[in-house]
Amino acid sequence: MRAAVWLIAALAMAQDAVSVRVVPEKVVLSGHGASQQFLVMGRYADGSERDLTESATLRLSDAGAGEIRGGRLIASRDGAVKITAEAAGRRASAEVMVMRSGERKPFSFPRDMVEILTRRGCNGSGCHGGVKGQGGFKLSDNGIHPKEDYRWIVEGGQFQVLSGEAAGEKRPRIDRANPEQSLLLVKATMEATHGGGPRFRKDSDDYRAILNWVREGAAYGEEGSGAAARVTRLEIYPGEIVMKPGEKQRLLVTAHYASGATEDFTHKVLYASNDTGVARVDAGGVAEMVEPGETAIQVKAAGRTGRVGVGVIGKATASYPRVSANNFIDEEVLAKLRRFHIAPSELSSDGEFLRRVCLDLTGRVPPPERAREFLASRDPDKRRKVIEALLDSPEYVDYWSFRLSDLFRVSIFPVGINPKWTQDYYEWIRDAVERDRPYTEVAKERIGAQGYSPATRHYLPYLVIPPPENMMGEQMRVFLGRRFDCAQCHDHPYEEWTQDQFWGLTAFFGPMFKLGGNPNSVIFDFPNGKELAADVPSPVDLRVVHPRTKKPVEPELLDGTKVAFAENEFPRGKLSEWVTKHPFFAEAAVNRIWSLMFGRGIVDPVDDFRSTNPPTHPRLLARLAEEFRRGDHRFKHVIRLIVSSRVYQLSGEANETNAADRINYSHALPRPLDAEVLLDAIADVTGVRERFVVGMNRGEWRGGKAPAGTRAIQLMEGDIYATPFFDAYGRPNRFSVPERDASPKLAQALHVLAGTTYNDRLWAPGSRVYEMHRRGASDGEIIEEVYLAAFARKASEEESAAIERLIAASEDREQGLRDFLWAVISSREFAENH
Amino acid sequence: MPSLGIALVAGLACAVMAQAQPRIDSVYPAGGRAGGTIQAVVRGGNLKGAGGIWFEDEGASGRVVGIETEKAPRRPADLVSVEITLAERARGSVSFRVLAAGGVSNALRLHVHEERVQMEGEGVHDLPEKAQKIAALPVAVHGRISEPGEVDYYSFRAEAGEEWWFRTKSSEALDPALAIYQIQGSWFDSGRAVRLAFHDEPVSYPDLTTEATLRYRFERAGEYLVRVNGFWGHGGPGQEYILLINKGGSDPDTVSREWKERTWTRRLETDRMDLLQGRALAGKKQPAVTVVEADGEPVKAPVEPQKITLPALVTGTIERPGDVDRVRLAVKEGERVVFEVETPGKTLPLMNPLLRIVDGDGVEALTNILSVVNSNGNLSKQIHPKTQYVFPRAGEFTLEIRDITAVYGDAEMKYRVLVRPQVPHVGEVHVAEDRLNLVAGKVQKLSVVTDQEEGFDGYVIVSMEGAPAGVRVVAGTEVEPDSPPSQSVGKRERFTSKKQKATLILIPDAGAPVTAKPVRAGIYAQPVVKGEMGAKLHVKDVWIMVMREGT
Repeated sequence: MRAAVWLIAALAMAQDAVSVRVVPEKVVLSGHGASQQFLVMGRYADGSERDLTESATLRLSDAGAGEIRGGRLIASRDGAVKITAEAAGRRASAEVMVMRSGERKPFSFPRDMVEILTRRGCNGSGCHGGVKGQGGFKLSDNGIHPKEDYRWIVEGGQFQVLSGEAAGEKRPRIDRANPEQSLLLVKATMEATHGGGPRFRKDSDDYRAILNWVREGAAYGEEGSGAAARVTRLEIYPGEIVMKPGEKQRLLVTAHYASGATEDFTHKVLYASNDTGVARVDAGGVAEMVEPGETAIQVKAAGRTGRVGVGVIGKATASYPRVSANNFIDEEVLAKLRRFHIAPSELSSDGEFLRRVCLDLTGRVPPPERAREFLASRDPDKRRKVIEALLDSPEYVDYWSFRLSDLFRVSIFPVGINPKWTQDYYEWIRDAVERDRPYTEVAKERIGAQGYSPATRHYLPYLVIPPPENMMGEQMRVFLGRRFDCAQCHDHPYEEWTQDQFWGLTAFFGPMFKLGGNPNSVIFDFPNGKELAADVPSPVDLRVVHPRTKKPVEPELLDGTKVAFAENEFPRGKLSEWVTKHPFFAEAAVNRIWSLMFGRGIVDPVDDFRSTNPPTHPRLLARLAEEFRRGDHRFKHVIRLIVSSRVYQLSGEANETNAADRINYSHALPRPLDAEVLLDAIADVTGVRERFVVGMNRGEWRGGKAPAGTRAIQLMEGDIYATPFFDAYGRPNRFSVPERDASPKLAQALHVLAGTTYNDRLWAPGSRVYEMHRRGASDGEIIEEVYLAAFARKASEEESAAIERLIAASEDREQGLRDFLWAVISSREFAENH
Repeated sequence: MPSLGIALVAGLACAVMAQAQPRIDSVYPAGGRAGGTIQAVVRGGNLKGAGGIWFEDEGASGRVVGIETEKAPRRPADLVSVEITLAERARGSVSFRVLAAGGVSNALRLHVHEERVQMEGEGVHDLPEKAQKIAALPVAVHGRISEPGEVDYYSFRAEAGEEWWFRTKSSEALDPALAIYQIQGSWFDSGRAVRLAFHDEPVSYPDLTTEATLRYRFERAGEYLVRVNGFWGHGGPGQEYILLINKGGSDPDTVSREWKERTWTRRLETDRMDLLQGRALAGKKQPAVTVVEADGEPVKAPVEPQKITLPALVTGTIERPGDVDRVRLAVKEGERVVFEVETPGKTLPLMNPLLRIVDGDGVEALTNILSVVNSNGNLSKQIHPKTQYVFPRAGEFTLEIRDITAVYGDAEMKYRVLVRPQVPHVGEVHVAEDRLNLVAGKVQKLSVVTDQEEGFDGYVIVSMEGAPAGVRVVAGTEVEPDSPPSQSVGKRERFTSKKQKATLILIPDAGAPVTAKPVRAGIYAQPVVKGEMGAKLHVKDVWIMVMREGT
């Protein structure tokens, strides 16, 4: 029934197509049984393309050259042949060259058997490809280690996570004497109990292929032609799908080999949708749109993964608005919004923009006199001018030093080890922000930190150097936005990262050693991981040892390049060069900056880039990264670009089409202020500063105090100051790469109601409202001043009238003004950046 | 000679509080101008009956004018008001002690400066807009950080192109930081002070100062601010500072005159061999030390290293990251050699000079790194400024000098490496006490630990000279407390000396006369080698008072 509906829909669409084309247009097929899936794509008047393969008729110029089934050509004879497609009364063709159709490829376990195991989902991370395998049977995730897979199947034994040795009795998963009784077959067909359910039927091609392989002796066969036979990537067509609910698109998957050759893998891969509520995909690679939203379809084969983004769009708007672009950010974001039939909101009001940009660039709400001035100004260039003023302000330095101190873990730690060094570390960060140093330089200094340099501080959080795998993991997470940690014990379950890659990178950190006594230690690297003092009776081999193979691991980059070192070179120096030149580096950096401006990254979370967590705007990410590189890797350049874009300056007021949008930047989304920023804002609006006392567990400790006038974001390390506000609103402890928890908590509500931060500032000598009252200001003047200080806008007439009524109805004016101020600073509008 | 600057109050009571030694922690102001008179308050404990001030050196005199006890919530302090006159000839600092009923206190230093004195005003000046004005240069501002979180702002005017320096001298309790600001205003705050420069010494390390120093060139004429604060917001009683401000050159640091065997900052000169010999048997002629300047060369393009003849002082600089300097030396089988390193510019932990001795085949023979096992069982490394080695075979070796990190190099990373034959000698001699308050009839001991270096196998005569009348000094023994054996996986003997401890017993007779002022007694060590006595080495002066028990 469903197929019929789709066919009718496809026929209807086909009638509107202005042209059709066949994909691929030209292809070479080689070897016995070589095949190629073709797509017939219709182009429409609005420039969009749709899959018409199902309704198209395909014919060969030479009927004896092969057979076409469901748009797939299975070649049977050498020679050139033309394939013609007809749909919607239009024609298109493709050229096919068939070669060596009589040559059967020699058997290859990696190619012929692992393909089945992958396609049938046997070696997925949720099954036998998981960390520990399933039921004692382990396969490498996505067939990334075929030799090991072969051993587990043919020799048997139970896999152990951190060992190359098999545990338990070795019982092969095949039976050469009785091939039909092979566990590999009886489990997959459910003739024996199988937790993973049926994987194929006894009459399937896959069953027969495995059975024949066992019958013929279960050889490993050819590895392939060395490295040339290695699949380097999977290419998926189309690169992006944007369709309406009910529409379908067949995917075309092409494998690229290291040799440069390509092969159609459309029917040799495993397809999976990240969100089947948005789009489904069948085993043959036909994706069906379900409900409006965004997701991705994952493709796995031959140890490689690929993905295609899917957007299911809603109703088209009758008249899509014309929106001008300030820069390429707008071009990219608006183009996608248009594709998705989402209209962007209007430009933000001046007050909305001013408050937002002040908070994002300096962590401060604008003072009322500045807000008043900005609102009154008729200068058409005033937004650009205020952006420049903020970027050049000392408050920018304060705020971005605070931001980077979070990321880089500036921390004294509860035991207070070597606080002088911590201060030096903070000053290094502050200097980098103040001078807008290239981020590449900062990264190189931090990754390659040696000796008593400021940046070495983070390598000695306590009195010992952390394990090298931890240090490597942190640097990759901070500077490349990737989490390799899962690959520490096993190949990464959702990525292509392998355990070998993990330890190859870790090996760069192996030769680190602490020199000197506490607390005046420095870190250095032994050349080539060898013990330095030859007179030591038992020289220590400081090379990192692979936990499974128990063999020393040489430093190796992600792409497999082994790095050699001269005697006076050190591994982390080389690694830092590689990291800062890698495309991941700029992408991760701009994504972090972006997330601070919009509340979410183009990849989100910002340090979790992976194929199953794709960017919402890949081209935007790439162009931002390119701009970052072009701008000498300086933050201000990218920040200026972002806050100058129309997208950044859009209103938070949603329209009919974009109210549900959370990821396409169609309107500004409210973001809770971080604890430090909120506390400073409360101090600014009330006019009563916080005084920070060094303390642990709310008790005084060591007796230090931050100087009078110190703002929360100026604290070198917020964790050592005893303030219940930070406790309630959250501050990262910086023991590991910090993550802030912005979710509301009961303690916050209680603090708003009864806490000192909100209640003790309302009516103190020197405070804003108290002093205005003392000087005889009217209610209207006080309301305007407080609104400008808190929201960068004036109160509407309705708001003013309501507040004045509240004050008038109070027991006395003081109580009324206190209540008004409390209501302002405890409001959501105040506690969020929007 | 002992101080000339003692002032005694008549009827000084010598009531003894044997368990509670007089202690002085700080003095405010912490110094003054040569030729001037200071009204100061000394803060300490157990200062009851304080009746005089004792100056170890010429250059100052003073008197006690009053005493009161501060009722602090945690730790009551005695506050002794004094009047001190600094002589015109006084320079650097003068050391003083307080004489109290319990005897003589520890010493504190009063800084003597040439700059005009400006006292910190009474009002709060913890914000830029409340800064106190610096009237004229040069100036020594005497101030204190009395409360946690307190900062002191001072304002001044500088002209375009002027270079000023700022230096603190502070009490032990205060670890000061300095910053220069200018009120430049910002979009947010028209009164915003923008920080232009900052200094707090980045590390707490033996032999390195905790004082803050700033040198700043003012590009534009205008009003500026300098801020003093305690590290980490610390502040409280006894946290005093002197802020010296001037244009042009800075004042020199005091150089220690004590014998130093193993510090990175000791001076290594061509007279080192003679000095060493002077700590064994004087008179034996030592060969002259030649000075060789090594060129810094990247390791990838080494030039033929110079050949040195022992003893030689190799000097050079790690000018660029990765620089490795080399010299060659030829040794005989069994030759006993010492490699001493001095870091006259940057020192540990900012510069970590690694020495490697490699043979003709490039095989490493030794380094100045010792591997040890810490008490927690972790392997650790130590780098040493002195390494002894006995070459097991003759041959030509290469001495490599570089920074251990291989990523730092600049003009301040200087080294001086003395390569010399071993000279058996008496090294450092350690005496913990610098004062003894004896009670007549009660015996006290004084421990003297001698380091015996480079195979010194003679004796050391330990003596005290100048003890007060009625006090006998005899040799004694004491029971050594058990200590866990130190562990190392390296050749510890290459980096450490042998130690021997002597105990001097001080026996004041029951009728020993009470001392009205501290008596300087000298501690001496005299090597004896094969029956011959070497020169008498002055170790330290100890100030001794004798008192009666009870009132």
